[in-house]
Amino acid sequence: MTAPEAERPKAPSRRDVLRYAGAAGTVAAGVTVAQAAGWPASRVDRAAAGVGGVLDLHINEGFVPMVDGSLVYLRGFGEKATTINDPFPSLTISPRIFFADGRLVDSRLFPPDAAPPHEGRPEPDSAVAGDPLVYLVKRSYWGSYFPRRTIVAESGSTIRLRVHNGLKQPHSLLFHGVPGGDSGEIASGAVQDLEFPAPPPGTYVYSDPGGISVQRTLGLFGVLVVVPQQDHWRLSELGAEFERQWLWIAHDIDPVWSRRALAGETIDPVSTPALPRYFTLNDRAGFQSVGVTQDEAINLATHEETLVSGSPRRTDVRDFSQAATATTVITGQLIRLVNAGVVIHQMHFHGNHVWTLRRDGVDFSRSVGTISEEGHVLLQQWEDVVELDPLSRKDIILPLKPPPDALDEVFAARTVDWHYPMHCHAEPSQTAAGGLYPGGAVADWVLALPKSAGGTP
Amino acid sequence: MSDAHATTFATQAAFASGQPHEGSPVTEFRRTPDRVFLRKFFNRRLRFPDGAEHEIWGFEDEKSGRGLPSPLVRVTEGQVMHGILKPSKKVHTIHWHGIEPDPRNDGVGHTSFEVTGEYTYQWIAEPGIPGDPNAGAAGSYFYHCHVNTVLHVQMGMFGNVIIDPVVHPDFPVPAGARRPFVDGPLYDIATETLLVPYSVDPRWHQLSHAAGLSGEDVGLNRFEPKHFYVLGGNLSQPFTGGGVHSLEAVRANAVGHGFPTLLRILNGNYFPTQVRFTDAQDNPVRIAEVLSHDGRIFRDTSSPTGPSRPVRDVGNKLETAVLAFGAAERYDMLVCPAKAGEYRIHVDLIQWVTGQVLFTKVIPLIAI
Ligand SMILES: [Cu+2]
Ligand SMILES: [Cu+2]
Repeated sequence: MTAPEAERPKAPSRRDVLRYAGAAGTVAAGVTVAQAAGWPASRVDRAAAGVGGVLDLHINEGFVPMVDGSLVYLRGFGEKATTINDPFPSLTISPRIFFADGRLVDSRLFPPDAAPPHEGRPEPDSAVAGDPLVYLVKRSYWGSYFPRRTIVAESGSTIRLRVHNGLKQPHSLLFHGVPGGDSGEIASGAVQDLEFPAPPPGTYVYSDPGGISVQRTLGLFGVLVVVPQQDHWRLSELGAEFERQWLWIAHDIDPVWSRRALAGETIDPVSTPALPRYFTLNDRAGFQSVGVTQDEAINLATHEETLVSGSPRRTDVRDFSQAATATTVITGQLIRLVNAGVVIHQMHFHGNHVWTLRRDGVDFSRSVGTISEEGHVLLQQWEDVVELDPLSRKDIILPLKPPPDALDEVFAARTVDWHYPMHCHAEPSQTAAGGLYPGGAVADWVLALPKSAGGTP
Repeated sequence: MSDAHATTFATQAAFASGQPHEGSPVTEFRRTPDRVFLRKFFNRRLRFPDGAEHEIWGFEDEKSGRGLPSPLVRVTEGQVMHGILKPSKKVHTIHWHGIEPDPRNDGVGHTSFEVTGEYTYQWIAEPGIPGDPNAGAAGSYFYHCHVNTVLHVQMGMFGNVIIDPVVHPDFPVPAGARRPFVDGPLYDIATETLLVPYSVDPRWHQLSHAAGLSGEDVGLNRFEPKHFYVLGGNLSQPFTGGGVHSLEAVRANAVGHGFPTLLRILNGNYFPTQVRFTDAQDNPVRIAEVLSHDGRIFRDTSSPTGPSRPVRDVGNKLETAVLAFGAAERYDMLVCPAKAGEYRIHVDLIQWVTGQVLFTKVIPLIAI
């Protein structure tokens, strides 16, 4: 499919570099779509930037390929200054970690010195005696890969940023709900320093709040994950323990808004509401987001950052810290769901219900539930569809249990990994360019066979 | 060894139009079923209560007629369920939303297969155990086609699933009553009611089976409902005769008049909805007690080793006058009007970007 004329870049150089035959694939000069889009390579970058390090964020613009190959004008907080004609505009940052001791570390893996799970999948510790189909999982052992746009901060750390506005209009950077996390307006060409203490452990959105949802929808967003300094495998100091964690950032893209922004128009989100045409999870969609492209770099990054996987275990929701042996724990995996988009998403999991722990940084009670004024039940609970409003965050545990309604003999005879979809059930979000189902905010999760049982990889 | 994801695709269009098809795959480890449901594909124009006619696709069985929603699947925990899909000439699947079997019985193309001939889905809803928050499937679900889902579900290819609990000796069940889950409260069988908001974008109902899959822009990102309906009805009689089964009124037992009434709600839309309970003068009344969500019970899980009783049994009833429920969510609730008389259930459809209420339908609730 050819991109509509108006969505194409003006610069011939860009057009020459990005010759899309139809969708993601290898483009000119050995450059992959993953690299062209500023997507992650699979390497783990552990280079330290020194104590008291400052993270530079560059507000840039450029053209980004969608899942169908169309190029759409977007903006973003990048890691170096690039111009609109750059074939590889820097619109996102690789994950960075602010430690309480002042170090700023560039690493997709957190903690950087933890064991990197091969293709993102933690191998179990051992089979359970007398229950050979399920496993004990390693406690505080496996690292977690984070997607681009992530800033990780330990509690007790100071977040130091230098924001460079490389665009023609003023912009700003706001960490929603974080005291001190507001740059104020930054004029075109100006640089603004921003320094604030890490807020309590949790999941936070950062964005340019300009035009309510407009600048965020144009791409100016990311996520701050604050982890407890004392325990890197818990949601908060006394919060749920997990085997590894994942961050899923949903976003919705409206090419008409993009065209209007490129033309210098001011967009009123009330009189001209967004009409998203692309829906992403961790900046990928459809076949990219389930890791079945012909680009190994995309597939690997997807496995490491998005496609939740692990071995079956008998998780008990009453206690995610049950210790079976000195080095194992009976728990699932934590997924931080973030909606940086403009539509109300409905994240639906096949294969297992998920256990919802908290919303927008507030832990749900385990005993005294309430119903909010808008009619939402606030209580730790099982769900197979998790509602996620714009700017909302929910932290959930996927238990990775044997699927409860499968026949025992079917589970016992399993010789392959079991793949289950996760998709948004507000189904228009499953499209790209008006069709191409399933081409939107989708992912899979995998109930893996451990390597010892003949599993892949 | 085969891996569902060994295949790679050059483009999104190749992926979208290249989902694995199988003719009539076998049901592995087939057991003798306790319950068998036939689900054949149909398409038909149906007349709706507002006088509009829409092309509807759905499932029918031997007796159901061609209706909306598709016929109910109701089984008890522990029973072997067989769902026989006959997709006719086209390709479809059945996904049993919220039921969690192995991938072959989950009904999703890219993680198993789409069916062209015939397939018998098999699963056993997990039995519940009183006080156990980790077990038990009893509750409300639905089934739907998972091929080009965005279109096929809007076309009407969905029906409700209810899982009844096993009976535990500590929680006996008298005549005329049932429990929503193994250690749940008794409710009145005669007034059990289903409420399913559903809206129609008529433009979508002109589209063909595989619309958009090859990359043509058919506007499936644009859901612009022009009609809003509340489907459902009293569950004590089967919905027969085909046509649109719409919920015209709810009959509920006032407090002290027999067992309370159970209302099961499913959002059959792509947009968020809410229900608001009021008296006849539209004043909010907190007469709904929410029991469970997505087939799982609201329990007190504060003891790491002790029993997790339903929150209602430890002094924390979840009573409300309003409940919000987004696409595909289900809630089961008791409706407990204080006294006999007229009440109302207002059902709002909310736009997914603007948050604007697009439609409101008012369903009379008659307390007896
Ligand atoms: Cu699904
Ligand atoms: Cu579903």
